[in-house]
Amino acid sequence: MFRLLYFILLLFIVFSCDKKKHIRKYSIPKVISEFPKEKNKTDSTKHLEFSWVAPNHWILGKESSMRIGSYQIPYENKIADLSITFFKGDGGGLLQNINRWRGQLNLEQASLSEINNLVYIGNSSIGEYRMYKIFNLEKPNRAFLCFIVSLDGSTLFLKLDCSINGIEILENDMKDFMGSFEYVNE
Amino acid sequence: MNKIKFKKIINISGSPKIFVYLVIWLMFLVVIGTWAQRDYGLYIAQNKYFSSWFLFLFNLVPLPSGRLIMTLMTVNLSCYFFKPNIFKKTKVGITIVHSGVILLLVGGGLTGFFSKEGSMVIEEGSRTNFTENFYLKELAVVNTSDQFYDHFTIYDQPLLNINNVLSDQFLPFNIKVLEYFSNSEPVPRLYRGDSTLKGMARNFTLKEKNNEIEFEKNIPGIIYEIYNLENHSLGIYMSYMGQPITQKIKINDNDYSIILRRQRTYLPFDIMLNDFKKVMHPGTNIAKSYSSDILLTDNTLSRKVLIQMNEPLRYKGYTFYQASFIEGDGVDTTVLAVVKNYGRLFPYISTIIMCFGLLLHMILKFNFKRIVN
Repeated sequence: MFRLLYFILLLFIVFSCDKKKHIRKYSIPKVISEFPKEKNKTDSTKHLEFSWVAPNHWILGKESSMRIGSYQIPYENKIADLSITFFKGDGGGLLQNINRWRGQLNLEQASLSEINNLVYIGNSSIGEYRMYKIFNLEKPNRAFLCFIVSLDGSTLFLKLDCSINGIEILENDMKDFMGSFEYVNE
Repeated sequence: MNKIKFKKIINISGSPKIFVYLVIWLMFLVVIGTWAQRDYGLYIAQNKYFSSWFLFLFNLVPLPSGRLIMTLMTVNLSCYFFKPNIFKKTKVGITIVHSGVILLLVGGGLTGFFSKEGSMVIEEGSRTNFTENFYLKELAVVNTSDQFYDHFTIYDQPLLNINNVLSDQFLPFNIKVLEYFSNSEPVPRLYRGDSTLKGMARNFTLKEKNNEIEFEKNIPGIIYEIYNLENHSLGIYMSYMGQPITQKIKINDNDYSIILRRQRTYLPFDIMLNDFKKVMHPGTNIAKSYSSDILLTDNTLSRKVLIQMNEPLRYKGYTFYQASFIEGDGVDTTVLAVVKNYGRLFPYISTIIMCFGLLLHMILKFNFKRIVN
């Protein structure tokens, strides 16, 4: 009996080694952007450059291939770091970016509806912007104030890295700054 | 009569002499394979000397390769179980050792046939649910006409042979492989007036190159002719891995993309990279350690995991190792090596079984009376 079972097991192993299935089929949902693009419909290929007006006491930082602008912003006795980045496409997606920043502050991941409940929507001449405050009360020394502008075919991100207190102090300045964005005329 | 014949077959094929010769040949293969690895690279040497059934001396004389030797070893050892009296007190230890060795070989077989390895490349903030094979490629035909879904038909690399016709009942065309190169480069075409050439093939052709020693650095390319179902040629096209503009065709008002890419395996869960951190040795550009802070989402359940050097993530049979990274300006990308090995536990279990068998054999064979006397 034992030998018969062993023989059957051997046959099973040999005949289960089938690698003839070389044609596979599957369907994947298309990636649909979460941004309401229609609202900011512009021809981004014509407007790849922006201008803005920054307060005099902001210290200009270095630009790089990713950052189109950068500032060191003094508040109380500290310095906040502001980065301005611009990506073609949706820059990885609204939800993904917000959750990445939340992850950097050890916060749980949020759903799109949760994120949308916390959004502040403002206007600038380049289009509608979305403002998100991301902070962890257990870590008051680091928080983000983020602005996202979805353009047609590209996305502009502004990220202020400071303390929770800094967000309260700099929020209005940041809204004014965001409102000063304009396309550079050709 | 039949019983006698069977016994004879078992005695011959289960002969310990055969096992010894097989082990000697395997040792020879290990030496040659290790040597060849220097010139041909790991992947080709492994395929030629260990993962194939035969290797051909001077491309002519067939010699048994690793897979055949291992199979013969398994058969040879299996014959032991058809011999009489194997559970006698004097033989039970040896029987257990045989079971352990067979289990080790079966584990090797499972690994060889079914294990999957690849890499997962994730940019900070993005989400991925597939791995890409280091070595194997696939030709993906994607029907992009649906508003909500992309429908993929995948032809694996073993089908990409010259003159092979790739067809599928749901596609309104067939693809005939005219050339397939495991390593190639696109070169401008000198004569560009051939009306049968379409897409990128109108201005470029593929030039075959020798394989790189690091096989994963090869850029495979394919030249193919598309026929409609009435067997009329719709043109000759070309694709190569990493092609900047995807080859697209329109047939029966449906849009199709044809992409040659690394073979993908979709996972039943997805991984999002929250943050990638690296620590450098002070005063150098040499990475001391790097880690990926990821979010693993399986259906609706999510959990945060830190994958770092020597601390892989094991989930649903897959093991994710921190392998490498790509540094970006502001956004880093992590490279995780992903392995699914069904035979992972076999070496551990079989070694324990073998040790136990040897110990039992020693105890049972030990002459205690002699020591007492």
